[in-house]
Amino acid sequence: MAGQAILGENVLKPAMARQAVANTLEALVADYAQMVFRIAYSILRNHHDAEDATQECFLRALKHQDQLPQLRSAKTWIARLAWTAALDKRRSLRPMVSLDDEQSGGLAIHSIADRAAAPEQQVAGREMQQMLERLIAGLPEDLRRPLELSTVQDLNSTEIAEIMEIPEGSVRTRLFRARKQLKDKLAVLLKGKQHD
Amino acid sequence: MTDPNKEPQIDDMLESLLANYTSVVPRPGLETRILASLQETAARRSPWSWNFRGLWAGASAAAAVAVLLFFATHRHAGPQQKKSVYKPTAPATSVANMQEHPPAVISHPRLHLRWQVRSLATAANLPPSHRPGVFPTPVPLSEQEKLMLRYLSGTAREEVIAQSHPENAPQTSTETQDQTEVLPDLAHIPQIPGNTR
Repeated sequence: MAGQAILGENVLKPAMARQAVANTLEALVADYAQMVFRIAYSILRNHHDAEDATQECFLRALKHQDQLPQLRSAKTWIARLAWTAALDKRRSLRPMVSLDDEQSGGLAIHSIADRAAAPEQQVAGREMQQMLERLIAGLPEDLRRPLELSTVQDLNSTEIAEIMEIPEGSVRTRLFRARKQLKDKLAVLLKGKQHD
Repeated sequence: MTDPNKEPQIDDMLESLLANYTSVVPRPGLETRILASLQETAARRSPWSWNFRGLWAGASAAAAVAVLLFFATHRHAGPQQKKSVYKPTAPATSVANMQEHPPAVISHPRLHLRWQVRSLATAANLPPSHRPGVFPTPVPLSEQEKLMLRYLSGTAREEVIAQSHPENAPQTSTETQDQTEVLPDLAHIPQIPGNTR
């Protein structure tokens, strides 16, 4: 009996716990890999870097696996890991990042709208996307970060607030100001195009 | 400031652009690559590393306890041990003698007991100047040795020799006679001095 108890305490329980953690991580990858990739992509704007950041995010999840049982929301936790991993990756990269993913050798950005559009519309759409990327890149950091996260459709303002560890009201205010600035700049650009 | 007439149009455009901002699909097999990298990392971080951590913790704790015990015992008996310097009393000192008559300088009862316990164990490890005069260092007889001595004292010498060399057992007188006949007489062969062959 004592031997069985020792075997259970020392061998079976840790093995079961490891298996449970492995299953949990596997489930996390299955459920949130796409979301993590999108968060990373919203910040890095490059497929390869976004994939690197995604892998780094899950490696960090493995490293901090002891936090898994106490988590209130695994989604927010993994999203925060993804966000910090992507920001770290962006810091480690050169300041000049190519906005054109095709030119950098990566795969094309397969936007959902692009798939069904005509070639002229695709070109126009890509131009507009590049313009938007430049406009977002020109925003102040405190406005840009919540806006980038808000473009990931899986996240609402409450989750963005948890990820950024700021009040939800601040997230809403910053998003409103960021959209306002973007609208103003977009209007100026469109006005200029019409004059041309 | 935006034109109020065009504001809804720009709003719609911005919403549409932001919606497509991260509508990307990763390369196929992303999940497989992530799982493979996780497995590789987990394999590198084997559970042995945790066991070694526990081992190191246990070893360091045991070492700390040993050091504490050492200091505790030596601080208590330290000044008295200085008096108990080993001085061989006679050249033919044996361990048995030492046990019976410990050096006079050991006066404390606890040290006396320790001396009795240690004398046998340390006799072989003493420096040459401190070793007893008898070599090899005498130690009490084991049970087997005692049995052997008892047997030898109660048995005839010839029998002991015969048993110790069974292949050279004492032969009968007739066999001895036969051997003398077979062996050639070597008395007449001249011995040349210096011939070593």
